[in-house]
Amino acid sequence: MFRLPTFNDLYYTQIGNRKLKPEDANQFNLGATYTLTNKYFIDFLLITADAYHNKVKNKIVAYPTKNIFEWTMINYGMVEINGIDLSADAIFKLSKNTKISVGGTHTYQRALNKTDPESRNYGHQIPYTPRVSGSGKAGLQTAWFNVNYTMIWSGHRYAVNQNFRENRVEGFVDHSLSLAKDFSLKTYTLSANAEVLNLANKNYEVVRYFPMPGRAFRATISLKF
Amino acid sequence: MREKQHIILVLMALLCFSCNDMADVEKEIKLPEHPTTGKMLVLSEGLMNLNNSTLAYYDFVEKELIIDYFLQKNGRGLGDTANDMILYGSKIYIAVNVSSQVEVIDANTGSSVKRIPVFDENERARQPRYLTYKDGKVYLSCFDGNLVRIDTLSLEIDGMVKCGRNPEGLCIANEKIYVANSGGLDNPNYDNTVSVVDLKTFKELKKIKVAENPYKVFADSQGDVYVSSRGNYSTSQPYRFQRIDSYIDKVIQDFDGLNVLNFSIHDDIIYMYSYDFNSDNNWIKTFDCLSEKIIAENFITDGTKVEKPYSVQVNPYDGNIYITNTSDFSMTGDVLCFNPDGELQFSINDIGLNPNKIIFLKPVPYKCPTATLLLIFGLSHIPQYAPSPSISVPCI
Repeated sequence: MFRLPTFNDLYYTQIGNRKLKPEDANQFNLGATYTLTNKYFIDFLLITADAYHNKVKNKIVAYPTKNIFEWTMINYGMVEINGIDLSADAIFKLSKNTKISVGGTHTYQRALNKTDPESRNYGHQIPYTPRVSGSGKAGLQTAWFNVNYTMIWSGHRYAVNQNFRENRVEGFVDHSLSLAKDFSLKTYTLSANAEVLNLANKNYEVVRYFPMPGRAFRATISLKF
Repeated sequence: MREKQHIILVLMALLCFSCNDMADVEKEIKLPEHPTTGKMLVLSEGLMNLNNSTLAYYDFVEKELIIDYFLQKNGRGLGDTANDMILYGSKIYIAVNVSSQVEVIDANTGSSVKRIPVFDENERARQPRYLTYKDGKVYLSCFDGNLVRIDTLSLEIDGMVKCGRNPEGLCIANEKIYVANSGGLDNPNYDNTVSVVDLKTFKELKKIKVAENPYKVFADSQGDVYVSSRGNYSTSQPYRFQRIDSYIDKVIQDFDGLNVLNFSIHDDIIYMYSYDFNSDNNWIKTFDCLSEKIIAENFITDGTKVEKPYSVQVNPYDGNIYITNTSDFSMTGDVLCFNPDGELQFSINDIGLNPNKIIFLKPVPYKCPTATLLLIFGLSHIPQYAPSPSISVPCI
């Protein structure tokens, strides 16, 4: 696979790097999928597993050298990525109108700089790329209301080129919960939705020194004609 | 059913393989075998806007290395882009550029004495760059165009003079302060002046026209002020090196073909280097301030390669020349120590991210019983504190 630097990569103010070289990748992927529908109380089940091996020459990496708004693009001479992606999705039918859905993803990624064996970051994980990350969700759908829970998480990452303790950005988990109800009126539907974002109220950092907002509440009402 | 069990087994195996096995890489820093005296503090600026400047401590005698000395002593980081530090009296002054603070620490303990914020009336960062001192005052160049004066007793800013655009290096000669106005933030429209500020009146006397984008200025014992200018970092406008006579405040010599990026002066010898950002080439030379001639075209004589020199200084206590090296501008750099003949004595690798300044602390008189006697004797009197700003070395 071959990726040319985009216009943004090259020229976007503060981000662009006119010396960027095109990215060149060899990708190998091996995957398996398992599906099941309408068996017992299982409405639907999908399990996928993928393993991949990528060798990327001149990998274009976006990297916040300045701050969260001013990222820069740099080429990494050679990056070797070995990864596993797992995902599962299932819907269970409890009764005619009641369903439970669950799902999750898990990613394991060794994205190592293999540019120069003499270099001080040879074999180090590239910046802002967690070794493990994933997501989860669960929902309950009833005739009266829907409840949904989502979660994303990431293992620790490193803010700069070397995997030293002082460059470590801790991992995070973000939980959100939402409650939705539809009111059917004569010609239209009124939907009310209440959400709690970042349930655990942790000011985690996606980018180092830029804490994310704590717990937040959001209510939405929408009309469908 | 058996099929399902297989799938579950495979998934379990995959999950096991995919645990978070990414551990912090431990630095393996080899400490020098070569014994020398005293201690040193190494300032590393880190990366701009990543808030990761560090101060490392090394005791040559005890062979004790503390990479995050400031953090350990103060329970907080040094801030963003610590650009320069000086030792004056018993205190060390550190100019932290992006954080826009001057951190004052006790040279003996490393504890912060005061943190002086350097902002204008609209709370805009003045961005401190370089420091020098004289007669109880510390002078600080700031990117906002000002030369700031700090009183070392009150540790307050007590004066300010407007210079040119984006001042960088500064030095004192003939009761005057010379400030290099780089205009570096207005790239490619650089400034090309050195401001001359009178120490007594603290007013700008004049601006001397020099080469484009002046960077460092240092004075020798004869009142000559040397200026290195960076041009536009390309072959079309290379680095230049000039000499100002501080008695007439004019450029009196232009050293053609001597493309100096950075330098320092010790005992009227200039240790200078060039580093070309395009070709990655560098050289390190020595220069005699009295004859105005190069002493050694290649300072390093034993074939040691310095990848990307970032500063050069002399340790007054062992007479050796210390060069800091950044392996890559985004990775940890080193300190290399050479004897005056240009032979590598030792190096300490991975001391910090972009190490840019070293302060050498006076060796402790080893097992000196008279010192104890003096102390007892001193205590029998009422100890009187006398600030002695002219002594630039603390007794540790």
